[in-house]
Amino acid sequence: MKIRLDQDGLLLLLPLTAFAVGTLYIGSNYGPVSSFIPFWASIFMLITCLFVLLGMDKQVDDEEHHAAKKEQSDNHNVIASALWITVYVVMAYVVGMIPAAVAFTFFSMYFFGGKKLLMAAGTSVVLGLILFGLFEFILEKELYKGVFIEEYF
Amino acid sequence: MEALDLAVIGDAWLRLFELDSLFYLVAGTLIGLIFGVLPGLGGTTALALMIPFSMSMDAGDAIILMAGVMGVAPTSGAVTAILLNTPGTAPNAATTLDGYPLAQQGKAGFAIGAAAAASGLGGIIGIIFLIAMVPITREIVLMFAPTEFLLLAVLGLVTVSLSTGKKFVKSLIVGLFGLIIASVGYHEVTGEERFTFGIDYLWDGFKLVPVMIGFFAVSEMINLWAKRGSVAASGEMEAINLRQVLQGCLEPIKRWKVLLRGSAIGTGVGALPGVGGTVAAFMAYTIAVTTAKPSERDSFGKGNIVGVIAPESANNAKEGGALVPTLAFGIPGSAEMAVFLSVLVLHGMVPGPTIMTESLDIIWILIAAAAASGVIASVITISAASSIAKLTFVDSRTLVPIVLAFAMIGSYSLDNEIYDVFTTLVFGFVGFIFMRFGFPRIAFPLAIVLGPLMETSYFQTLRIGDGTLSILFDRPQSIVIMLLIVGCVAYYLKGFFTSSEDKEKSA
Amino acid sequence: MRFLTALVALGLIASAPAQAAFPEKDIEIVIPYGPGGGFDTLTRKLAPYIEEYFAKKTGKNFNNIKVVPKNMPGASGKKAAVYTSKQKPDGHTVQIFNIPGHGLPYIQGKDAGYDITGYSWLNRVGGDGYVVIVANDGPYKTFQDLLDKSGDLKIPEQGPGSTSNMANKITWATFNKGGEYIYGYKSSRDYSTAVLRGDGDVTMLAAGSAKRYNKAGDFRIVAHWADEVDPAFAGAVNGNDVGHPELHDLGLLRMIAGPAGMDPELMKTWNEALAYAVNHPDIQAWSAKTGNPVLAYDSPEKTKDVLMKNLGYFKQFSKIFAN
Repeated sequence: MKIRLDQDGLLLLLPLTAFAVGTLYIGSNYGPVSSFIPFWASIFMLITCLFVLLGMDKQVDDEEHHAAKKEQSDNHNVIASALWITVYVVMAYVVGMIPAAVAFTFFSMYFFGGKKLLMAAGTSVVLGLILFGLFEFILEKELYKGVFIEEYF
Repeated sequence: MEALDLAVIGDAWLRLFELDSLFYLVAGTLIGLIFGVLPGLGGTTALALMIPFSMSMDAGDAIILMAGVMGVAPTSGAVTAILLNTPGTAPNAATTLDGYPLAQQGKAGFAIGAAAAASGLGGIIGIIFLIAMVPITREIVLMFAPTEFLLLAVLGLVTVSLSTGKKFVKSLIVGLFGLIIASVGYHEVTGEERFTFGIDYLWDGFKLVPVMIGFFAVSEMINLWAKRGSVAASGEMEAINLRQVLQGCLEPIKRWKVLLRGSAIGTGVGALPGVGGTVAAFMAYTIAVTTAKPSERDSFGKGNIVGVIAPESANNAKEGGALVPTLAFGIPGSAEMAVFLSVLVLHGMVPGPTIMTESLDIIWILIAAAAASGVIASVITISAASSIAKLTFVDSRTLVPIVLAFAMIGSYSLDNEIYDVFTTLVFGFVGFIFMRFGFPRIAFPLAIVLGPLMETSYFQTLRIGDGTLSILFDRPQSIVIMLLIVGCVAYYLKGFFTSSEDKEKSA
Repeated sequence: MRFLTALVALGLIASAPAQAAFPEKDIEIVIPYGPGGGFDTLTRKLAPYIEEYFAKKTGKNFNNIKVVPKNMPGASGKKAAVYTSKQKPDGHTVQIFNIPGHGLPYIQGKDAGYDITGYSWLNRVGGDGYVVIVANDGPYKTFQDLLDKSGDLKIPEQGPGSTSNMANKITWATFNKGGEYIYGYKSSRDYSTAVLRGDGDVTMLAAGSAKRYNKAGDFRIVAHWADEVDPAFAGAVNGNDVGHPELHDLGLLRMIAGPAGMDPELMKTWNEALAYAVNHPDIQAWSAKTGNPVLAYDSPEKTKDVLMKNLGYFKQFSKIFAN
């Protein structure tokens, strides 16, 4: 078996290996029954991560691998995407779930999607109404109203 | 046989056609459908919400309503699994493997048609198997001890990793990661806190629903937003029409062996409490892959319709199976059954060996309603399929915020806990990273569901066996399952080596 | 001057007991477990009758004020207990408690984030004594057979924190009989079926549950820790027969309480509401049919007394529960 460092996967495999080591260390300090799964799962995880790291699972065709990589989006698109979605969660935390949903949808469609103002605004408002009607009215589930209201009222 | 009294069975079906019964049946079905589609909700939530309504109804109507909801959620869950790579309910996770690639090829209508038909037919077959098992329900429940549950959990984890083919090792890593995540929290038996780091929220561990929504729905949305465009990367919107959907509907009938096998697995596995639908669906999938011709195996995971039929028939058939321990012993076969049980008790019925003699009429109404709701659900899904499938052509800038809104709110509304939304986000990142580096995510939900079962069963088996695992070899049931595990692995590896030999020869 | 008077008058009105206007909004009954269990079922069954009582008493329209059961599972019941302890003691939030289950931290002398003795105890709604069960076709025919087994008894159970587990530990410790516990079964149904299956030798169940599960005669009840052995358990011994009548104090209580500091008049109203619900003919009929025992007392003081007696009994055995 050839041993070749899997450079593409390093970004994920190193943290995973560190995770396995960490859980192995913490897990083995628990009592004999509690440590069973953490211990064995992390040992096997460590072994398999090293296996993949050293390129020993070279079963995926190189061709297939490159083809799959080409289809993926650029790294900076990914980071932008992740950030934008995080913004949504932060908005939900601050102003509440439904206002955040409306605002987020509007900004996504209008500023990023280039949709017409009426279309973006209309869709966002309708979405907000549907969410409100479904959850607050029909299901009678109170939705998060934002950290200020929830904590101080 | 007393239980199979034809007069009672006939009355049950006649009852279904009464106006108010039909109303409850359709209402229950619709509610189950909607909840199954929205990520984060699902059958259990729908049932729990129906409890207050059901209390003021008479027993028969309440059962019909509940049966409507229960039978249907896995059907609509397949819709989001296919369209958005997001299983509506955990058992639908296996459907994403081949369903989503089909959507990406512009064949969403075809996939949904097949899924809906497989679900409807699978549900009916499951009910038929249930009826056949009614006289021996007690024996079945007594036959399966923690020993068998341990082995079944192992079988589940092994088969799911094998189902990803060449990415077996990477799949295993994700599964092991899932096992560790599942171990976070207070250990019920020892009272020890694992990996909680003093955080109250983690006391009960990570909840399945927010984690799943993040791992599948949110990660998919991150991907979609980054990629731009729409889900369907090829194909034409116009091609998605009723004709495509109906072509899909015919597939389960054409491939009736897959349908029958999937339903049998669903009923059988569904009858085992705790193991449930997720395992049934994956097992059906993997066995479909394993029993396919070696030349066809490669097409799994890339849009092979069999990969949709097998899990969907299994996860609807499981409802029939899950009724077995629920009715016979009051041991719920799944989370939905636990809620359903309480409805039975609230209406004065006592699940247990005597329910067959005391409430036989109600049981047959339940069975009739469950079968009927499955059919109704399929019909509704099929009718709406071509419109729904066009969602795959909606631009990401519109689709992503809408899906995210439902996903996050669904996650929040589980326990009215904002931390669940944060959990969803975090696992969204984790799921995305796995996706990006080509690690199949499919082992994750199974590991989370089976990990605790495996752990508990392991220690129970040790205790029952006086400190050794020798009991595994004393029971014929255990030996059968162990042979299954070995068999699956061997058959798979054999096909694997054969195909790589073929490749070398042709190179 | 007039302004000051008005202010004082306003202050007096504001501090008038909220009792007079009770209930002003929907009432929440917290259930510390998920839907489908015994506590959940009982609470949901009683809720409409509690609502009926308040509607009658205040003359308010039935549809206006609702009694809403709210599931709050988590941390084996601790999450709900902590939540309830933090609510306003205005009678609009109460919880159903598992005694001695919720009292385990108190019994062990540990802090769990809530003080079980501090709540405003309103009334009992259910609860039961315990029985010892074995498989009917198994090797043990009497309680003495179990004591005579060489070696430890194998006992399937849910988990170390459950009341039935405490009952088991106390029972076997009383006779100096060792028990090897097989934890991990999901419910009392599950672990009693385990005895049928042969996973273990014996276990304990609430008497009502035993009656419910035994309709087909699969189990043999060899002991019932009660002053009068229930006729359904013919052949079973009780504490008197084995020289340990104190075992009759072993029992599960389902009780309702509100946060600490509730107005005594309000507590009395709640006590009456719960008694009304429990004693309602519909509930009594349901209880008889499904084997879910229900019982209420006529004062909050009596409720608190019974609670403290129960906790006091279990506290004697705190050493056994420390694992």
